[in-house]
Amino acid sequence: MIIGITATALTFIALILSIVAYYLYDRRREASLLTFARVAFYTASILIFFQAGLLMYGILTHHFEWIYVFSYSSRDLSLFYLISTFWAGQEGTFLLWLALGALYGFWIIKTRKEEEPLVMSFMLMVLAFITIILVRKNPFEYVWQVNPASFPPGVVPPDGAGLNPLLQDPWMVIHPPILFAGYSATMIPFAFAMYALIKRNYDTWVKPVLPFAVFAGLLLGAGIILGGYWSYVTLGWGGFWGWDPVENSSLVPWLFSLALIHGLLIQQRQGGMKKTNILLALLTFVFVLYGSFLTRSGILTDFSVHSFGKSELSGYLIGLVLFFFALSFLAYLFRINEVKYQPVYTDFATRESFLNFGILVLVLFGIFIFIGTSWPLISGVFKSKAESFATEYYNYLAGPGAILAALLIALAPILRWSTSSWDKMRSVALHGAVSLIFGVVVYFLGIRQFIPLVIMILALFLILINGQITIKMLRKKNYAFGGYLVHVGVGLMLMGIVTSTGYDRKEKVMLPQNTPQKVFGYRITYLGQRPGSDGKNRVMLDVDGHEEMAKFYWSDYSQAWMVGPSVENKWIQDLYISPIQIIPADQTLPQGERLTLIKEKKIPYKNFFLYFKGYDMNAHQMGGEDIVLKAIIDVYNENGKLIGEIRPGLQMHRNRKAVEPVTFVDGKSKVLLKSINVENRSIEIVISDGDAAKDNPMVGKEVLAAEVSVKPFINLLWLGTILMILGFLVALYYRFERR
Amino acid sequence: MRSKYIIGGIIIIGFTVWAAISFNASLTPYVSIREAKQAHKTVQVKGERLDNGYFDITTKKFTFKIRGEDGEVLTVVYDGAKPGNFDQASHVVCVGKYENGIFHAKELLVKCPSKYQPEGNNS
Repeated sequence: MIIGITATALTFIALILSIVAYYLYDRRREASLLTFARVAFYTASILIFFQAGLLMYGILTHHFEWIYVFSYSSRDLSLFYLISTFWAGQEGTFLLWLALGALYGFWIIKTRKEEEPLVMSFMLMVLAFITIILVRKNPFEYVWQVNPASFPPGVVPPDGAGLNPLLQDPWMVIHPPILFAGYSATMIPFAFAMYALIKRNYDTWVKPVLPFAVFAGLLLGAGIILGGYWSYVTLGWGGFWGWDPVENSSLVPWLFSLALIHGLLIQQRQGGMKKTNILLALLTFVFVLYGSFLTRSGILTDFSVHSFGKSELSGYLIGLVLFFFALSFLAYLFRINEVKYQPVYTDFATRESFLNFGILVLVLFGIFIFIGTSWPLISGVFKSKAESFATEYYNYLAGPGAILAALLIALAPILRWSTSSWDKMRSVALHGAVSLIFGVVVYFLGIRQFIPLVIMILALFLILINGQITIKMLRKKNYAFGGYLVHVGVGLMLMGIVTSTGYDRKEKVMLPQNTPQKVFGYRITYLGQRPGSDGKNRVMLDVDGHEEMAKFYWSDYSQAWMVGPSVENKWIQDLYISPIQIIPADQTLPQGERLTLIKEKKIPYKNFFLYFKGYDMNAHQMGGEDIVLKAIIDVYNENGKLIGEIRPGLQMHRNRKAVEPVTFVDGKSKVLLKSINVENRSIEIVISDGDAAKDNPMVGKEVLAAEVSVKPFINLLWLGTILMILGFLVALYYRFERR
Repeated sequence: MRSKYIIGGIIIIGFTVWAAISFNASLTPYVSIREAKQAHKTVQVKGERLDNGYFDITTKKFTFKIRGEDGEVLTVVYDGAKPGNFDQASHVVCVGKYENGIFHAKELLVKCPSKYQPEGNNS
């Protein structure tokens, strides 16, 4: 579509003009240059918003001749998921990044006149680079331009390829935009750091950048949390975090952004940490770019469960990372020696040294996750064969990391700035005592391992200390409590993570249809499958009397069975049921004898004779499309005496058959109607071996194999995440107000 | 002043040493199936999928066979669910340990032929 492609190309030109004009204005300070730079930026923004609007319009009105619309959407999607199609593919996410970047540009122009020229030119440089990628891979290209072999020119495909069913989830509608808002927000501290380096303003950049750093930290954190929650309630593997490269590549920049926030707090307070803060701001952004390279280039296909295709864009993505890496580090190396070293005061028991340790822990943790995630690349370069390693590596790291972090978060608030003193230690003696008693209690409740136990104790300790401060400040209407509230949230999250992942119980169970089973004290009954209105089969369950639902359906799009768990949130724990497989009833007979019965003929079976009389068609007609067909079989003994009648049934359920087995006259074996042959007037039945079938509830029934797990106190984790986000919002409000 | 640097140094060294130890413990080298059968430790193998696998109702385990590039066939038992797209996979990557003639997998990674992905889908 020529208008869309032209708009992309013009955006690039407008961005370049704006960058140059901003740069020249910064040198010469001619007002006309500033006006020109802004007009060029506004033009670029309008073009970007136009493209975003155009793409959304194309998706909503099914313009399948556009490659992006064809590749990611289809007619059967609801409005909700049509909207999320916008960020289902790379081009859409890049466009989203551009649109958010443009918004941030307006924000900078409005609020930061002083730093505007250079900050804007560096932000726009990032946007220009992304625009190049979009020119190369444009969402508005016609399908026949991209793939002339499959699409005749000028013919609009009747329907699109569809949206990955995993993305058809309410959480996926908001998770990507928030995460991308976070990614693109890291541009702002980066641009400020470049400004600081070029202008030699190693001190004055701190105050204006701090709120933006908090903003980036908030969005990255919220995006990561939403992603984890999505994974927990949608994917059905039972967890919220799997140390996958995709997850790690957003976690690393988040950890660095948190380190940056703490570093800026120190510098704002007493001037030290100048070099470190600039480095942290640059690294946060470089890690964002590196992460998008790792996850989009397809380089980790052999090491990640996420299915990335090989991308023709890897060259551009490598260029993006290398360009900004080189740019920031050259600038850093050129200037850093002239930064006057100002030691961070000083003694051990001060607030700032504990903040320093905290930064150290965050950075170390980030670096080791970075190394682990990149290991396939690193080992591929240095060794003959790429190596991989188990994700336990990260868990080993997380334990001691959490202990250190919790200890620091607990103690830092009771230390004074710049004066080394433990004098407030006594005031938290009670908190310490309560935490130790709590430790004894949880020890007897079952947390016996050393590291989890220590984390629990320290987590409560930090919650009590930071919580008390939060409440005190709130009473005084002092809105500087955001950080403390974030820490309370972190403490709760640590507790929830320990209990729900370290002390969860799981079991694989077989649930025969309509047969209650006791699992972890819950009475769970598998009720059968029900087709969903969206064409996806639901697995109906009954848990202690109320109906629950999981998903289990075949996806043509993914060419796979898709599983969605049933998650029942109870106050103290989640009951998590994830289907593994549904075993049809005819496959759950142990050893059976297959018999073909022809209508009105006596067929011998053991010392019986079976006589197939006919069908009982009007057995019951269950609602609408369900039909139950039963075969009437008379059973004679060896003397030719009629001793009983059996009616095995076959249930037709749309296009799915389900068998209704019956018990044979011996009272032990199960009889099952396997198939019907109308032409030969015959049926095929299976009679199971009597003794093996006798006490087994699964025989002849459809069986749901499922993994059932209970996750104790996972609500602490969710509560913690909510408090953390709230704390960030308060901090953001406070930082912007105070400026 | 000095104590701060000592503590900082201890954190850095301690964390690094701990990371190196944990890392070594969790390394799983990519090996051929023949090597895997002699390895006696956790390794990673990749092989062509030979069947659709079988989920045993009584042991609740998933069993299937793969053939490596060296032609060796390996029976893999996985203590978990059959991956949703298993039947469509061309190759399977298994992380685990070979014991008594069976490869006990802790992790499965299913490689699907890319033709199922629509053009340009990289998300």
